[in-house]
Amino acid sequence: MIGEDVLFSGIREIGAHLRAKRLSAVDLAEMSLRRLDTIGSKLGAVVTVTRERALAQAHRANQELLAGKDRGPLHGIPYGAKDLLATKGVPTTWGAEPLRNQVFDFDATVVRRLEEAGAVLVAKLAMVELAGGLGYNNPDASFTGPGRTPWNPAHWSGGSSSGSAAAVAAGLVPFAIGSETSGSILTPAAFCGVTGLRPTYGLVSRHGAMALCWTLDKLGPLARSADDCGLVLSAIAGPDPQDPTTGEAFRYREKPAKRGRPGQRFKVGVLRNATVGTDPDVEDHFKQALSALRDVADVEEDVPFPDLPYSEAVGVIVDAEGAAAFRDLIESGKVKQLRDAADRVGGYAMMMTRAADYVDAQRSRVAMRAELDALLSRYDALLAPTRTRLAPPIGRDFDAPAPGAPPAPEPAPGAPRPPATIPAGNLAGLPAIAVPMGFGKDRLPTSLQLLGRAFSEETLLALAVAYQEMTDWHRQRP
Amino acid sequence: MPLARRGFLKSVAGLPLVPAVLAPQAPPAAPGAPSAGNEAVAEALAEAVKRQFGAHLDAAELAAVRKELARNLESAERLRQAARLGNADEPVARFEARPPRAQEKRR
Repeated sequence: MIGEDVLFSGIREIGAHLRAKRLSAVDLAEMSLRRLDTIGSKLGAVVTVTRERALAQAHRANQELLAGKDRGPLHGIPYGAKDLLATKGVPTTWGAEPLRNQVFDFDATVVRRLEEAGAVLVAKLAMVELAGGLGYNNPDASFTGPGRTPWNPAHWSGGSSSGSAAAVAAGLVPFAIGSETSGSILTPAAFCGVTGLRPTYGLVSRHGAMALCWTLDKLGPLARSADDCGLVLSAIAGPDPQDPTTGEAFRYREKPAKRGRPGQRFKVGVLRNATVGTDPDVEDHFKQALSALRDVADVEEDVPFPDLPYSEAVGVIVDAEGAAAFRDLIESGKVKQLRDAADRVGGYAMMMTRAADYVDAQRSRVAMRAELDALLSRYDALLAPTRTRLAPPIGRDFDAPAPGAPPAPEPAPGAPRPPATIPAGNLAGLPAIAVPMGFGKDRLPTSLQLLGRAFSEETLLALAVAYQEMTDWHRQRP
Repeated sequence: MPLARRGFLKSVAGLPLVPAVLAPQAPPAAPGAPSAGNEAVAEALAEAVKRQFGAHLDAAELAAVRKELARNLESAERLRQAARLGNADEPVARFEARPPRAQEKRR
């Protein structure tokens, strides 16, 4: 008899059980719903369990399979959606107390596409309020409470797609949808020990998703493996007339990737200073990951990353666009109902962003994109740890020192610094995938980031699949 | 009350609060040394926040907003010094005169 452990399996394996009738989509959905109810709330991972909709979709999936209609790899597979994706008739709260009762009368494009692919929506998953757009400073920044990593619930899940990552890690759902403006898929993927794919800007429609920053927002999958991320991306990517930034299509090959490409090895670059200031576990695991990758890739060390003000540009752009996106909440004073103290006032400073600063940030972005593209044109991927540190503890502000520790000193001018891959990749709209690479102190996960050229998802996925064929970090369970 | 985006980047992402030299021709101000001009602008913008949104903010919150404004101005200044934009450098955003739905119909 197949039990709830099946939810820790890959999508292909679960699908094989469904097609062989060893498991029904309804039983699978019930398992997922039960775990969401019992485990999800302990992790602060769930906003709404969509039981009625899930069971209706699961029954349909079952009937179709019995009738010989197969919608593809996601047919009958349960999933969760970050609670910033519109779902008809179900609350879509954006993680924010003043919007707890917000209900849309349509489905976001990704939700609609996943339904067409036969997937079963079982939950709206927790997130940092307003996707962190107003500048939160503590893990407890959602009306559902702090997101907790299933590996050690005393530590943060990462954000802002906190519930999406935690739900996958805890085996509540095989995959989930998250969003990233600057780090919101990669960070929780890293802290929860799952695989997260940030697609190229414009590859996945944002229609029906909360807007934080129109020129930076992306939607993407979090799942147990890179192969699963590829299957999900294949279902949600592609042109959508309702999102004018879309245009490119994406098709993931249906068979598992072989080690490397036929007759060809990958070429990867290890970024200079990638481990400067990292936690010792992160550095150790990164070295081990590079050692594994040498089996399938030519590895060039010490690749300089263009030293440009990515973080500053992201900051100005998010401030200006976020102020416009949430202007009603800010001007009405409803931001006072937000959970995190910094979120309650951050919007007022954002409202004062100078127009010329914003336009200059958008102008500087052109040169930054060109520099990064020139560098990435020489590699299949650039490598660095996804996060330099392990997940921080619940209950402490991000900028507060650990108890008894002195405040972190300002870095000396000219001192080596780790490459700012997350703001850089987001500013340039580049794809990246985060894959687990080990477990450090207190059983907290570490993560490897693969950054690629625009629309190079297929190569990134092939490389990540090859890495995961050689390692088993993504198969471990909390 | 600390405001957090850059604090967050520093503490969680391991990214610097203040980057080192960004462009050889325009070294930034030393960390923690806001320029007098930006301080004055931050003060003026904080006053604008107080006048427009003062009903929603107490004194401590206004002080936090002012601090964040100063940080934002410093950050924008660093960006400006590093980017060295010329008159012809266009922004990345592109406006299209034809609405998307009209484009769809033409295809």
